[in-house]
Amino acid sequence: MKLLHALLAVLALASPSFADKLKVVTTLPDLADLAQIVGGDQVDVTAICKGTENVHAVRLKPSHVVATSKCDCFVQMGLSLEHAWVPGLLKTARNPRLEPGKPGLVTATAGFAALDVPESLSRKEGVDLHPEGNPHVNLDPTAGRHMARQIHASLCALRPEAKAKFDANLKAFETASTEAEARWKALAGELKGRPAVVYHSEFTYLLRSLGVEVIATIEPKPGVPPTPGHLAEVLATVQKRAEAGQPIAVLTAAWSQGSAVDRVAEASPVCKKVVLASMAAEGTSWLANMEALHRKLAQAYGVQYPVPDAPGAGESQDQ
Amino acid sequence: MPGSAATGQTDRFSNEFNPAIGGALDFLLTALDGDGEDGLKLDLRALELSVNTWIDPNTWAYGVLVGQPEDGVSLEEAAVVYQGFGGHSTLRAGRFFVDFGKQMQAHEHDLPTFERPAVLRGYLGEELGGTGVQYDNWFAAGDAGAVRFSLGLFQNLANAHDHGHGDAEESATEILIADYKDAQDLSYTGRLTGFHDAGENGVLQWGLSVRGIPSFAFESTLSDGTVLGSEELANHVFGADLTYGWNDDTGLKGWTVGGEYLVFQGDIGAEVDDNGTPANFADDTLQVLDSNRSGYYLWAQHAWDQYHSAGLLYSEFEHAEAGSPKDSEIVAWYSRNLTEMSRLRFGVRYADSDESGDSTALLVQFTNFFGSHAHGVNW
Repeated sequence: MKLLHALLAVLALASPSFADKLKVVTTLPDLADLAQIVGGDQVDVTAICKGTENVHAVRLKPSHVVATSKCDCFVQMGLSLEHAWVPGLLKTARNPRLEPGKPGLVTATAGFAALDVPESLSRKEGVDLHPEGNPHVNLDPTAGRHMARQIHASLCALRPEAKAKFDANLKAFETASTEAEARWKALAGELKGRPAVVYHSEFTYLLRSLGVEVIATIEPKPGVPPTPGHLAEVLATVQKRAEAGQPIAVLTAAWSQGSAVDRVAEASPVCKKVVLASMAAEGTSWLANMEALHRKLAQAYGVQYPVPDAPGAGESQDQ
Repeated sequence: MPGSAATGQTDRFSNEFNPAIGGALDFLLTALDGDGEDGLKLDLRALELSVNTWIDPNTWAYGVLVGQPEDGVSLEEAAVVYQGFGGHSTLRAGRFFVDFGKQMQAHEHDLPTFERPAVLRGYLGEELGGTGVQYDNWFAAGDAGAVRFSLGLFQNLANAHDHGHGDAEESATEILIADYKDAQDLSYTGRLTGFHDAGENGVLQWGLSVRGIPSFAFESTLSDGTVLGSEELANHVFGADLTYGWNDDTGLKGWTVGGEYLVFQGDIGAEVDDNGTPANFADDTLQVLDSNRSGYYLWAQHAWDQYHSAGLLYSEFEHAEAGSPKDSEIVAWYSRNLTEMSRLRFGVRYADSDESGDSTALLVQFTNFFGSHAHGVNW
């Protein structure tokens, strides 16, 4: 009997499902959080972005190349969000587990109905043009579940013996996400039709889910800095709308809060600059980031959040 | 209109906009005030057309055609890259820029400043393309570092500067490399480089490079048609480089500082000695300079957002000539990225030469990229 126990112990240690964790590398911290939630104790997760960068301009480090070359699973957003650096990274890392079509390569937005798919592909329509649509899907309130399911499918294929664990983890996340969505939907009722100005189009999914009206975009086209003429048009639009006296949120990411944003924010006393995270900061959960975004928008418009008496109002995960 | 997101990015050569055809237009306006030439020069430095394509799952190929108003169209690069060995190894064959230091592999318009540092131009040439094969591999050095090495064999890596003469009178001395030669006489390159995380936001790279020409001849044609030559010559260029890059948390603001020290060694130059009788060619001899010369460059660049950056470069080197005359240059520049695909650059360059005096140039460069313009990880 002792011999049998010893043999089982050795087998358990040698079994990849218990002895080795799946190594997962993700581009965004949002994806790292979801991979950790779904993978639980079966995964070691590394995120490349810290959460504060312009995701189109990430300086790759040797540790990123090494981690990608050794990982079992690589999770990217897709839709050309990381096109400036993921192809070079994958080419250099040369990891056979990450070849297209293999379960180790996960595109989290696969199958998601993208917004703003361009009708024609020409640089005339913008330098930073994404052929498959707006790639900032991670800020869609329903995207957490979608991205988690993509990761879940990959992990189940890579480690089928742990499927029951992954199933349970996914279900728990979906429950938490559904509760949060109820709070966010309640806020949408309060923010519908409120005016906002954005610098870039990274908040499109979030704002449309809330019904916030984008009255102007400071970039004349994606990836093109504001020209004096375009900025004058934006200022005129903002000043006209400000006559109604309703608060106008001027939304920008950390990387884009330059003088043009300040000029628009100073165009009227009703304007308020709000710096929003375009992805979860390192170590922050996707749910907590989404919660923080909703709270900031509510504050910008002077709306109480969570909306009193809304479903799940007491469950806020803001940090 | 909503669409279905079916694909991510797995390929450097996206053909969403066109079949991975790209290019660059590079204009340079120079206002020169010096001991020699003076005045304005407006130069279309290059219209570059590039094509990248997969041949099969293990092989890709690319070609770069460059057109210049004065030099016509030339094939700058055309190579096939095979990566089916497994691991991280790569074999490249064809014509391509050799792997030496941090700046020789890049095309001129992709450099941080207007042209390569003076020491690289002096010892390796404005560009160093060769026809040959190169093996490349890398391995992890812990979790936060990688070491890469390459070895290349080429038909000919000589350039117009190898004889070490810059003026018209001496330019009749040429380097000759046999078309057919033994394998050990092929030109070669080697590079060993380490690439390491340096803190949360920094990257440190070191590198050692060599370019060797193990067998060549100097030849000089005198005014009376007499040809003087010297054979069985060899020279090498050795380089050691160090680069540190740092970005803030947005990835857009940052510093890059670096430098490279080069030694040019062996049969590095040749001059005709007229033995004090310029009118009598019969006693002329070709004197080969078998010696060492060295030089270096240092540079720093600061980007304060995605649109604005400025930098400073200093370079100094000894000519491959008797007496070791020196050249030095200092270049300051400001780059304005109009968009991701378009750049305007202003600069000033002061050059001081023991041979040709000093000069000051004001420079304006306008570069546009179009279509596909993809690069891999820069190491």
